[in-house]
Amino acid sequence: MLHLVARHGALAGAPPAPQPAGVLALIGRGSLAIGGHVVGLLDFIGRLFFELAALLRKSERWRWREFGAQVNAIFVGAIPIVAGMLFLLGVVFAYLLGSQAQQYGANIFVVDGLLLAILREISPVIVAVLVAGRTGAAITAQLGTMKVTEEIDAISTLGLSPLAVLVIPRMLALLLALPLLVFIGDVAGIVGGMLVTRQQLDISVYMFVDRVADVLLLKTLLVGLGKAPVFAIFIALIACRMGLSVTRDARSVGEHTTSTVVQSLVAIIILNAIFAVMFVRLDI
Amino acid sequence: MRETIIDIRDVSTTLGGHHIHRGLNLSVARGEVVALIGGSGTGKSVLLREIIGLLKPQAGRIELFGQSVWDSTPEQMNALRRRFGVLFQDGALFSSLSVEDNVATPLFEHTALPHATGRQLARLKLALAGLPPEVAGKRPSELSGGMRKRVALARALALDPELLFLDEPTSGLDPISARAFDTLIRLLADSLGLTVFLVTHDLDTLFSIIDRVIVLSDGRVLGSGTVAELKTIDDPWLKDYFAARAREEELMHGN
Repeated sequence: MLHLVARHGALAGAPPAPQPAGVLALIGRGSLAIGGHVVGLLDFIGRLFFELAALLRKSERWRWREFGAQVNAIFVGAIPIVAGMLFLLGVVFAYLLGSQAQQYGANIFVVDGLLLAILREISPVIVAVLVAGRTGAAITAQLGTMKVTEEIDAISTLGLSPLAVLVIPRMLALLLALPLLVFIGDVAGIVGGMLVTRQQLDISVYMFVDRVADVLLLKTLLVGLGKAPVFAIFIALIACRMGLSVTRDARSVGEHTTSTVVQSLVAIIILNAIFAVMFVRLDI
Repeated sequence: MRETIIDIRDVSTTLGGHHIHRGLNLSVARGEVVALIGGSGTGKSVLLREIIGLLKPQAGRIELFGQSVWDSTPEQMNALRRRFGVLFQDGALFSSLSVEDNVATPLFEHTALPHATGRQLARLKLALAGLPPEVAGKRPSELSGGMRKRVALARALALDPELLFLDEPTSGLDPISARAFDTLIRLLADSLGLTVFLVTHDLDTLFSIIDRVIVLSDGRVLGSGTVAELKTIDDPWLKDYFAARAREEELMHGN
């Protein structure tokens, strides 16, 4: 046996150890990776538009059953966690705001601040982050595994387009589910805040609701809800593209799932910043 | 001369800087059961993916039933897809659908049959593939590897194709299931008049059910013929390949 090892070892010789990469090399590689993601995403959007155009012409090819199953998985399954998280965030936010406002006797303004923060920023962003982690990762892992087991190839050889069968139903389901979830988050956050203001600041439920009716602008609600579809499109695009670009092994599924969550979170934060600047400039 | 069903002319493929195929030519006539063999990395599976329209070769022409795979309109390609069935290596069943719906999917997509009729036909195909009726309602994940392959075979046969592609049909099966699957393929090929094109590593398959073997080596077809004819070709890989079988038989007779 040792002879066998010696014979093969002698032929091959030890391969040189890979050089540790320098900072510049890492930055370069990182930039190339980001560039690759952007190009890949644009290419994916282009192909998706072609597919959508084809689907619009042949309306009988819409996958309503898949769409329904996805809405069920994305929306119904996420209600408890969204409501729970936003309720607790409402509690925390009202506490913090309340302890500051109490010092100036500005108790009732806690309601104003709570509404603005929950409806405009916290609920859309937190719900989008939750959905990116929950649904985005699930979509990538599922499509990636389907790629590995050749299910995607089987779909293609049946003359179906994986984009029409798998991607578009998921996209539309996210587009529908995310605004609804944000609204549920809005309500849960306000209820959480309401409980705290009653306990800590002696603002009764009547006073709270009265104040909400006074200060809540429809605009505040719509700004928050309006961000949701944009987040949804980006989560769906990133998750589906990463899923379909899995190569044929399990490691790649893991890497792509991680990448989906990271890319989605970065996209959500960047988009939210753009929205914030845009709304201020436009005086909304 | 029988009609040529698969015709591959001067196909060249480059993947990731590697030349996989260099001017590859082969053809398969109607009614043949043909196996494609070759060492790992000789591009057997790649060639199969090119024939069924999943991967575009850089150069060359691939024709099925006299119609080019890569120069067809989507409508022509869909018509072509109804005439062949594919069995992927691990079955590639749709995990979210029941076994019955898996087999019925091609019928739902390509025909205007009512769903109840489609499901009835699907059960017929499942029986044809040698599966008991109770598997129809199960999920693919509840089945054994051998059963999954049979379901996938039933799905490949759903549209009554003239041509069947099999990617390593016996890989991952125990020897008994593998031989049973071989026999089933040959039986179906003979009784339904199918042309079968399969990629395999399994020597027993070659010796039992194959009319003609095509050997890929170095991006080209090294030889084609019956197993006996191939044994006369002087090629190190091919000699090793058949020698493995000879040793096996020696061992068996020795015991």
